[in-house]
Amino acid sequence: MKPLEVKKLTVEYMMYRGWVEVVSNADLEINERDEILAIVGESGCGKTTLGLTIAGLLPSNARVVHGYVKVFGKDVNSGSAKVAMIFQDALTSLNPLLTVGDQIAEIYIHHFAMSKKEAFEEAMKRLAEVGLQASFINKYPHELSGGQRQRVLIAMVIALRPELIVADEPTTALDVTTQAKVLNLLKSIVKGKGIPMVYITHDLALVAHIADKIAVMYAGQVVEYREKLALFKDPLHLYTQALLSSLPRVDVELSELRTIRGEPPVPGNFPKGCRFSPRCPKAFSRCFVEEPRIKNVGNGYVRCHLYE
Amino acid sequence: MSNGVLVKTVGLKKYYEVRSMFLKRVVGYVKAVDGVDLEIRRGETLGLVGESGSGKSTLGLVLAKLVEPTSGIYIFNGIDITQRFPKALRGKIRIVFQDPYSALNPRLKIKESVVEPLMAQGLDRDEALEKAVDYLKLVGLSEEHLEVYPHMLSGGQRQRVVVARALITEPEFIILDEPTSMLDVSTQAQMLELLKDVKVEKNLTYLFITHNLAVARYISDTIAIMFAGQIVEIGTKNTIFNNPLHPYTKTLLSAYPPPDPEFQWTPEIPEDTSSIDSSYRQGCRYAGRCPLKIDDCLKSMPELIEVERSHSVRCHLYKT
Amino acid sequence: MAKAFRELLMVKRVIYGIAILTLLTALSLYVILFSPFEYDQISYNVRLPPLTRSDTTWPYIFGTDNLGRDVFTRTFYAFILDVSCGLAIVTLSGLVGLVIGLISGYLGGFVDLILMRLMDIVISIPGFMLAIAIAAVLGSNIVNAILAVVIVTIPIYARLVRSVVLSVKESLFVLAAKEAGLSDVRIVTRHILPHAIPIFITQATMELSNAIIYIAALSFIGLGAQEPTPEWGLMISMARRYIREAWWPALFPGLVMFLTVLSFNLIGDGLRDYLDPKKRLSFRVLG
Repeated sequence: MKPLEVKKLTVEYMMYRGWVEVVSNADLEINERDEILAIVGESGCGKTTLGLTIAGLLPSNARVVHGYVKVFGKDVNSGSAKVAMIFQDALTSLNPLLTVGDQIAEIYIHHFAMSKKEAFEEAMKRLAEVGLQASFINKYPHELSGGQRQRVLIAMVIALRPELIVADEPTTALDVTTQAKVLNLLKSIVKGKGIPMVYITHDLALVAHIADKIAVMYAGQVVEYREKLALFKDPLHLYTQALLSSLPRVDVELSELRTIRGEPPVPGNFPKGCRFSPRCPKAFSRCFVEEPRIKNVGNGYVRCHLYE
Repeated sequence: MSNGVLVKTVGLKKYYEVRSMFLKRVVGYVKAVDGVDLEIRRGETLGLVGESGSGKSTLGLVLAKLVEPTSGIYIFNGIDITQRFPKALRGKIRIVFQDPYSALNPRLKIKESVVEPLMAQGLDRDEALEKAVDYLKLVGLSEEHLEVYPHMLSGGQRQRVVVARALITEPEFIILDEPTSMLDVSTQAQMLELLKDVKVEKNLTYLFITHNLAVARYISDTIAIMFAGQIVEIGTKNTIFNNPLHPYTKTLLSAYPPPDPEFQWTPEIPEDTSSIDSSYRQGCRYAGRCPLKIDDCLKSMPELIEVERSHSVRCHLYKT
Repeated sequence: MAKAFRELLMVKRVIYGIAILTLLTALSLYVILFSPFEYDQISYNVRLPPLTRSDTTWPYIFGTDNLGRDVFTRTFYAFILDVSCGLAIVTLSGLVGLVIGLISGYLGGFVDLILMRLMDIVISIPGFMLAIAIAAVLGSNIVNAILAVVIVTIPIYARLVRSVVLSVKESLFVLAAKEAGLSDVRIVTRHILPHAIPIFITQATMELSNAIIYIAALSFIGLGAQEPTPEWGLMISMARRYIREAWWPALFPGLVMFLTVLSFNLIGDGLRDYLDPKKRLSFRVLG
């Protein structure tokens, strides 16, 4: 049973002009229990929607048009798959009126029918696992820093004993020093407890250190899906290449950043043919007319006419 | 001013009073900016790097003359503008904010937002509109964009409008407060290139405030690291990156993962064991977290001392 | 702007409201131009039921009252009067409240404190008591009634506008306007006021119905319009005494008043719905 299987997934959102495709024919998978799949893309590419679909949390104004998402063989909409989600904004994800301890213990009381005493004991263990001192059990969310709140959220997610975790930009709102700590924590949970994770981010540099497999999304499509080392050594899709060369570096002195002209398209306004063609430096006639199909490369694939 | 120093501050401080609930007595201070001495030369880009709470944005607002400093001196082009900010100089110092989605009035057309600074100076409207067209083109937009509303533009385009609006009064000094933090990676690259080009074309001086060391490295000539309201290290780009001195600088550097999977990324981030309340501590602000602290660090505040040419640091570990 | 107006018209309630209002206004204008009766024309044809023939081109469509006056004519003259009073009230108190709200919200501090406490005092005065007091000093007439209602409703607008100002004041584009060098007055008129207007207009439309009811109520108890002025409240009050013999001089003014108030409510309600959930049903679903 694969931890995650996403096949030909297409998701639409209801906008004021009708149903608009936001994710198109996504194919992804996680093969091992301690694997992290990163979904990388800029705003509007559909990565958050894809994450919500995997977590079974699509809002009512969205629908899956075709395809499926299965976690350990179970469809995510059936209710039997246990997927937990970590959101970007820890402050609004926590109840400001309950203490940290209450919120973690609540999970054990409701989901696992534990007694209050047992629930609090487990909550203490979770706090330790995320690196927070026992005294935090009585603190309220507003008394914590951003990084601490995120850790509490992670503790709650662990408490749920999920089969898969979807993390949507969990460190974007944090300081870079805190970010490093939280990332390490997430990694240790995946590797240590064997819970696979889908990590959604726009930060390619981060992905180099946390992911095992990477899916690059553009305009609703997965344009490149590779193992981490392969992707960075030899990025195939022109968008991936452009993203990599437009990153400023801390470790290297750069004299200029390679920019891609234009801007990412908005759902409902995706270009015909290859969606990246208007901005692609190597686009040719076929690119503007025909949508490229998936071409398998090693353990992954790329969606580009140049490789067909 | 001699040797081309355009912006100079001495002992700049901004303290916010914390008042008790009951009688509104002052119970303490938030020392957002606590003694900042800066010199920015004409044509230079000073990258001010700090995390949230470091005071970098407050310093930016003070330099933009939007916030009154509690004490200290602010000299611009040889003129002391701490108390009096002459009207003639008002258009010479501008600021670009972080959020392109809130910086433009959603009910006004782009042209209204762009000409606004000129209207404030009393310029004739037709002349102002002509200038608006010129500056929109300079930032890579077109005349058609004059007539649209902000919500029709993307974040990157909106930020370009904000830049045009800042450039239109022909400033000498622009403060950029995290201008690319809310933009996508590819849009950020475009904006950074644009800022570089514009700086050369218009002979500008920048204060570039950011939390992102990589961006700072790319765009700055000099870099200042800010922590808890103070500059803890300042130097040219080369000195800072080749020879980081302050423990905080080293921590920051190690916290940035390069986009290279084969690089062994082991960030050394010490735990913060200090309390958040800094107004009572006498020693170094960083002492609470510093893995290298010595006795002196808890007793007295280190001064900013030049350790090598064009490289100063505020740390007891380094004495001349 | 035009697009917004068209979208507003798509709200059903607004269409119904405007339809009723247009009908009533048209009827009123028609009556004023073509009715063979004067509004104060007394005759011996007292208490005639609706649709009784008269010796003019028109029947007594709504019948006659205790003094032989045509109720139909009077009802629609009253429409013009009452709606005008309502408009006058809303305009006066609205403008004063708007200015107070803008100043109070923008300047804050001591000015805000004083103005808002003043508003608190005024709003706690029962409108009827104030009207009685004013009537006692200055006399009972419709102008004084309007004055009382204006005073008492100013705080509604002041508070509403002030809350909008407070929220907009903190916006980044206001800080940007300050940075651009705009004077405070310019900032308020250019950036803050346009944000207050839509909510203000919605409230004013709703308050218009209240104002009409207020005037009618004051006239009903004798503090507003005086005989022979055609005013709904006054007409109903006079008709009460002989309602057993003639129900029509009380019913029809009330009915037309009800329809008028209803139409303003529908428009105001539609406006409010148009302004609010529309923003929420936006297309910012993606991340």
